[in-house]
Amino acid sequence: MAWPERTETERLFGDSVPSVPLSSTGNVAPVQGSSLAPLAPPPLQGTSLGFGSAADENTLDEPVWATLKRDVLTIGRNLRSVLIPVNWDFQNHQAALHNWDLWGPLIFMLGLAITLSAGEKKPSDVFALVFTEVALGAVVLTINVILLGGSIVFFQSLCLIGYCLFPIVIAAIVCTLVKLSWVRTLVLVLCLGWASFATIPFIGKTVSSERRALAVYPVLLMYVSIGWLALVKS
Amino acid sequence: MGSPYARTRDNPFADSTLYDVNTTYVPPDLSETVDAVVPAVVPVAGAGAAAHTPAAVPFPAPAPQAAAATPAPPLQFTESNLNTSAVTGQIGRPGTAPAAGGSVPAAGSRPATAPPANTSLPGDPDDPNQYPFWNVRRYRPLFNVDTKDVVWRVGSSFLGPLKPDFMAVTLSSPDLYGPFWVATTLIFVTAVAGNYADFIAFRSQQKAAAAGGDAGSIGERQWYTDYAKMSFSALLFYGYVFGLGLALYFALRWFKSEIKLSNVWCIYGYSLTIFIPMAFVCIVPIGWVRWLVVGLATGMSGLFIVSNLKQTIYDAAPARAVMLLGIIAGLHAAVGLLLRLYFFHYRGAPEVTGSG
Repeated sequence: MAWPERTETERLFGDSVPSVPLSSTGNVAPVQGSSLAPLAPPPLQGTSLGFGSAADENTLDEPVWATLKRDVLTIGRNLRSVLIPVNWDFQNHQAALHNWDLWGPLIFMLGLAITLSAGEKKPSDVFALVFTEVALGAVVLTINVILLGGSIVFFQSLCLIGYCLFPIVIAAIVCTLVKLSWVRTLVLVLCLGWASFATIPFIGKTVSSERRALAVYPVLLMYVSIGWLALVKS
Repeated sequence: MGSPYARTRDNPFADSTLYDVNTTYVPPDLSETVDAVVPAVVPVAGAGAAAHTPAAVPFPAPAPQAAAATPAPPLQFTESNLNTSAVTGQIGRPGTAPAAGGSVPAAGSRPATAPPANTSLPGDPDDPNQYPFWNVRRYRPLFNVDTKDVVWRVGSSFLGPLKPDFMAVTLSSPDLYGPFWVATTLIFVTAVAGNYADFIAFRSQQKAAAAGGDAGSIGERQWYTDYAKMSFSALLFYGYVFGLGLALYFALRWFKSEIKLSNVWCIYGYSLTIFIPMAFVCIVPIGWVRWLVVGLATGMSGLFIVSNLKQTIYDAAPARAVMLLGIIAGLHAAVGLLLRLYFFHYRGAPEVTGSG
């Protein structure tokens, strides 16, 4: 029934500008094989499905600088709302993460991998290790929450875990510049604490209270393991 | 009332009412068909439809609403005499008879309205079996543990042979959370501890060489973390728990045992927990301490596996039980040996009091 479908769609979306569902529903099968593929960030005000509306023209015709600036602002906004969880109640949290994007996580993960692999004996091994660990880790963590009976939106969780890498990127940069082990340890502990402080409330609320530790522990494990990679960096 | 689009877009079906989404569907007159007519417009919410008559026109969504809205005299919305209680579209669930009579019956695909039978998880109205095999949620029963359950199981694996009731407790509710995350933690911990142990040996070698005055005899002046340890330990631990567990499961099934694969994986997974503190203790660069600790840990976890599987193996293969148990214990000892010799043995530097 290809024809009526298009008719129906045109009828529904012809003149209006609906918002694309930015977060996937809970029934999306999480195993899709594209965990952190760089998706184009959805514009904040949705777009039509390509049928030529006014808003669509704007985002197509705008200069590249405007697009980049909007994406950078989105990343910045998400970063702020994820990493500074004070003064945000959970409602705002939900709203802030409703516009999930994966550019931020990608940038932070690449930054982390490059920083940790610079100066090593086998940089490609370290890069591959960090990249795999973060990508697989985020996916496995989300699947873990789902298996424990929690309700979580797959890409929102990827988004959050990716943004919470930001403190660890800072720690990695510090560890690259400073060789004193006590400075490294101190900075690492602080940054790990900051990352955990941002992630744990989110993850913890998704499962029932009897299983909270079970859902939170793997997150801590992942952060500690990446932190260790930064600590022992040569 | 045809759609304006249909007219202006050269719709080849412009004159047909069959595919026009905007016309009201009039159901055919079924008054002369056999009386065992389940209302043809069963609005299937997604999964598993109840029975439908062959006379029902196979139309999608627009049909049911239109038909339901029409007070269709030919369709008798009475209690259907078809036994739908066994048909719910779900595997393994006792049927909930859909509410019929006077209203559009809801096919029992979403069990949220009816209290589920004993097959669903506590506190979770969803039946995991309704999901297809590629959906993660189908495997939720394997992770149906609370924090205190996991803590108990870990504690039981530490106590090992002193109180071998692990199998009895977990027989009906094995979990895979423990095996997977214990193995993952162990991968990380052995990589960390192994590297740290090597680092300590490296530093002591450096100091000895510097004190001795021949700085050039050290192989490398710069310490590099060995990341290959992590990939090897991943292979080792995942392979041991899941690969060897699978092999044992096949062996037990060969002997017609009733044990489930998740039980075997559960036991093997939790048996590795004692290696986690062992790895930290093995950082100590004293040879005999390492041997002692590794031996203790291997012994206790091996005894844990053996004492919990003993009953199962004796039930399945009484004649070969001793041999099977011996093989299991032997493989476990091999893993312990491998741990000691690969992760906590620094090649090129003798350990204090005794070689590695």
